[in-house]
Amino acid sequence: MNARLRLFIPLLIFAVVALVFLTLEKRIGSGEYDPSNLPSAMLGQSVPAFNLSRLMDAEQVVDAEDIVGQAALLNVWATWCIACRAEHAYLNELASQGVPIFGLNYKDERAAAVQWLQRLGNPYRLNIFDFKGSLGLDLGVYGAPETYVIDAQGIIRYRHVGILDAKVWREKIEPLGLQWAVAQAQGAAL
Amino acid sequence: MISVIPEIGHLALLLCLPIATALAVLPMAGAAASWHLLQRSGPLLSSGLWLFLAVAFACLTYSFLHDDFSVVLVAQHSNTALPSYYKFSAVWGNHEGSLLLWVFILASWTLAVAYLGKSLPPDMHARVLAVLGGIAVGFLLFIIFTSNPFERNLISPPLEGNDLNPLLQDIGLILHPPLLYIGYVGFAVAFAFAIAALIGGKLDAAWARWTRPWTTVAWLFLTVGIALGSWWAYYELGWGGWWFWDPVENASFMPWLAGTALIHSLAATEKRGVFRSWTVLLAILAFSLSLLGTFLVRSGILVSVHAFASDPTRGMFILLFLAVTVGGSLLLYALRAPTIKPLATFKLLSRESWLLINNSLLAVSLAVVLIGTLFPLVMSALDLGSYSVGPPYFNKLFLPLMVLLMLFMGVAPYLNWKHNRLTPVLVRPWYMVSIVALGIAMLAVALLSQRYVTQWRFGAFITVALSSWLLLMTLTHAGLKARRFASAKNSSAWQGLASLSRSYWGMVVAHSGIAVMALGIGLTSSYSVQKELAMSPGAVADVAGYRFVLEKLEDVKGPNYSATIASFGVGRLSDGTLVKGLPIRLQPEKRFYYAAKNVMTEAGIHGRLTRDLYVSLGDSLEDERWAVRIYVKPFIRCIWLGALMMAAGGLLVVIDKRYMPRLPVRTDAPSDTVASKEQAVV
Amino acid sequence: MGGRSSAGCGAVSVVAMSNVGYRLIGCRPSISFSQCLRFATVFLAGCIALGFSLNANAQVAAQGVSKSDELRAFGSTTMRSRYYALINELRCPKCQNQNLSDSDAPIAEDLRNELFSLLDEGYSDQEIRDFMTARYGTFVLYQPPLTRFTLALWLVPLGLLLISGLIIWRMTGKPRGLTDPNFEHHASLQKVGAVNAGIEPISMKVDALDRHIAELERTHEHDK
Repeated sequence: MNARLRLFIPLLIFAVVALVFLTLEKRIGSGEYDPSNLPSAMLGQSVPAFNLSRLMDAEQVVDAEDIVGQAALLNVWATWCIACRAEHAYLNELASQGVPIFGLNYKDERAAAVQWLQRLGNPYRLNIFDFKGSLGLDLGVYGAPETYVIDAQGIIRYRHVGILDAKVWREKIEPLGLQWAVAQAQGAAL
Repeated sequence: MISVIPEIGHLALLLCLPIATALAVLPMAGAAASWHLLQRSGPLLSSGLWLFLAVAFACLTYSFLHDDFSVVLVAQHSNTALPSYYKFSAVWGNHEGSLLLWVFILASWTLAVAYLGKSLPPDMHARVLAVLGGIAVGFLLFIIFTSNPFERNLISPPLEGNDLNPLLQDIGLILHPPLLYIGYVGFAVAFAFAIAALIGGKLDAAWARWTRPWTTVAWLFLTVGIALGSWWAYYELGWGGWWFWDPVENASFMPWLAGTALIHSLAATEKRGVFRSWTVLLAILAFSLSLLGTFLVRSGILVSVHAFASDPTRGMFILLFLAVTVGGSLLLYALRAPTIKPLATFKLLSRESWLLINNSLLAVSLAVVLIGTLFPLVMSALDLGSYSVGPPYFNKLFLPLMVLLMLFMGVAPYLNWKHNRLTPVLVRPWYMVSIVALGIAMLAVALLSQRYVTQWRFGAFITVALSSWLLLMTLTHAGLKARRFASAKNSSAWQGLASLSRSYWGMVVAHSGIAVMALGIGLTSSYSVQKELAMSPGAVADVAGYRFVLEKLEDVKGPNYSATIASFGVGRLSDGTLVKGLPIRLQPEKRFYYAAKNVMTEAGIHGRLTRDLYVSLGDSLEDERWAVRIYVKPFIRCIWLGALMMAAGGLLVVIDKRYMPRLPVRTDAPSDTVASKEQAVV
Repeated sequence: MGGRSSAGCGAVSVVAMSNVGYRLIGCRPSISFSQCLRFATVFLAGCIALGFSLNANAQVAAQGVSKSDELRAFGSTTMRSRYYALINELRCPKCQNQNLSDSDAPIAEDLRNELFSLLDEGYSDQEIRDFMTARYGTFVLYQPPLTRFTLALWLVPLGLLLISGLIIWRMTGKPRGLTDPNFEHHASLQKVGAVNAGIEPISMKVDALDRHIAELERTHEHDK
């Protein structure tokens, strides 16, 4: 009988492999997993140190301290990024609700970016002008748009790749349980 | 006018389903109940299936060639400005069309087995056709319900199509998928033979003899298909790489490894009746890996340049099909495979054990590729992090396995079935060959190191030594064998060589092909030179003993793109001066395709067996300056030459006299006497 | 000068090898094994001597003068080879399975530049990999770091190799139970010399015995 049982080993191996594939397909189908999206390596780490100028004022210098201190979003955007235009309306809405949003203008032209904001509205408390993409590199940015969720201690809690919308807020950001310095009663409106 | 051709095609496709179902059921039932009429229904049903699929395929091709944009597929993947031959290949340059091609090739193989396999016992013949029909049913269901190529947009058909992906606008697309699929799908025949044998309960040397030619033909097409894919990637992608261990490439390589193990294992089963269970498992495994490859590429779980854009519903369907086919066959194997060991035994130094060693090395290589490909997926599925497994891992593990394989391969022809003694007469050629191989390696490495101005490359030394050793061992054996024949029959050595069987020559050519390929791989890895430069018209670059002069840049317009062409003159240097001017012309291009808004690089290549000169354009810098990549790659063509030699070897084996239609027609139980009388010495 | 000496070496070795091969195949009366061995040793010694002399020249030859600027000003040849090795080893975070060398994406360009400046600053290969991993995760390494999970990648193939070796060893041991009646027959055939150089025994008796055994197995099969 031992010989007969050994012949079941290939079937067993296949069953395991098929199970793995089934799990993967289910997770892709539910939107939980996207093979082309990279999970951030910076989760649980503090915002990296940087020293860059402000978008609106080339003379003024910003560093990490300026954006840490409360639960906030750090939104990576650029005028060359078409999807950023699509999510801009939602960012405006979030800002009007009082959610602190900081902008990281990634490898862009200063004049064009300022014009863009003037035309489409400025939801950002502060905009960092990252011409070379050095802060982007330190954060692990590989495209735009991306949004980082930072807690009050300056720790990166979540990184979303792609357009930010109400669904993402509901399913990914809200469950983090951060204290948004915003009127809690208006939470439902988000 | 709205064309009705696509509807005819669609109807033909739908009609295939009942025919395939009948093919899957009737002959199998006939074989089980011994109803002769049902048993013999196979060929007729196979012809019907093939005919209707041919009609469907023809209708789709017609739609592409006539720019029928009411067919969604044509609108997505073609364009009026596309040259005709690319419109033709665009039929399979997408998910739905390539699936149609897949099932059409399956029907062609089925037809071949139906009419060329008439000499098989009728119940086995019927069962094989039924299994092939079953596989066709699965694919037809998949196509009809999730990937219908004849989907139409009759409400507002676009006036212009999206255009074929520029990377695919190449002769590679015309040849690579069909050849690859013929190989992939061909393993279904071996699979069908295996299932038929398990169901019928007769698994013996005769079964192995029937399966062998079908498997060898499929294997050789797969070899050519993979080699062509590698060649295509080399000149098309613009960076001079020829193998990336990309999951999709691995998906085609795994069946190849299993197939190679299979054709060797079949030899042992045919000649000695050993390893029956293992051979059957390999036959199931080869096709299962083909199906696995199909799943990986179309399910959406892989990120790759080669992967089709797909969605999870399709993935689930293929997974279901995989579960039924592979799971079912492995279950059948577990329940019905023979467990009694054959009484034929063999010693360690024998052809059987050497074939076993070959199989185990190939199996371990297969495991390496499989694990490496699946590991990132498993980690992602279990949410354990994001990993990549690529060339550094695969190369590190694959290389020592290939070295071992080549070492055993060299000795293999010298061994007999069952038992060998290490007599001096046996071993003498090995001493000689080893010494000569080492000498050749020394010379080669010294010459190459001087030519490419580098230090001594130990890796190259090992490669050349091993390759020439393998080559010489194989050729020496052929010579010795011819000499024995000649002295036995008192004829000349040349007549001795001529009297060796084609299948023996097949082995010699195929094994030599591996040696040549290994040589190419080793030398190009060790001695390739790469330079990235900024050049403007008039600029000169000296790389690896060649002078490259950028003569001019010009802008041209192609049928569906606009391009910048850089003209290079290249000449050989000797002691820093040009020997004969600039006789070689290279014209790399940077193309911008209008419809797809895609930028593509076309490399300029001048190839000889001893080296390739490869130039490609990078980005344009300021002032008419361009980033240029110049490569000199020694002996890279040997890689594809070696692969072609392997396929040629396979071809020689198949046209061996024993497979030629002089064989008497067998009706019932096979008898080994017929086979052993006819076989030439292998 | 180099070309001509190479051609000369090539010609000599071809003549030498064809002579040996010719004799080996026996188109001329065979020479003794010790003569062959002596010839081969001389041949090998000649190759080694020639090889070293050629190699000595290689060190002296100058690097070609390039009149175009390299895109990157490498500090040394080691730095250049380290650069190319690393960009082939690191994966582009965004692209569809391409390494940094092959990718056209802007992020790949950025990472190549960053890599270059890190090399310039004197980072070691491992430090550079750690730098990339800290920002982009283990995804960007084509050879995953050694953790208890990735250990499987190395142990499983090794284990399979050992297991198959064991199986082969056991299969080729002494036949258990039945003694092999054919073995003696084979041994005597070998003494006659008919089984050297790969010619199979053409004795019909051996084949008939094999067939008989196969028949026995078949009947056994149906008993199940």
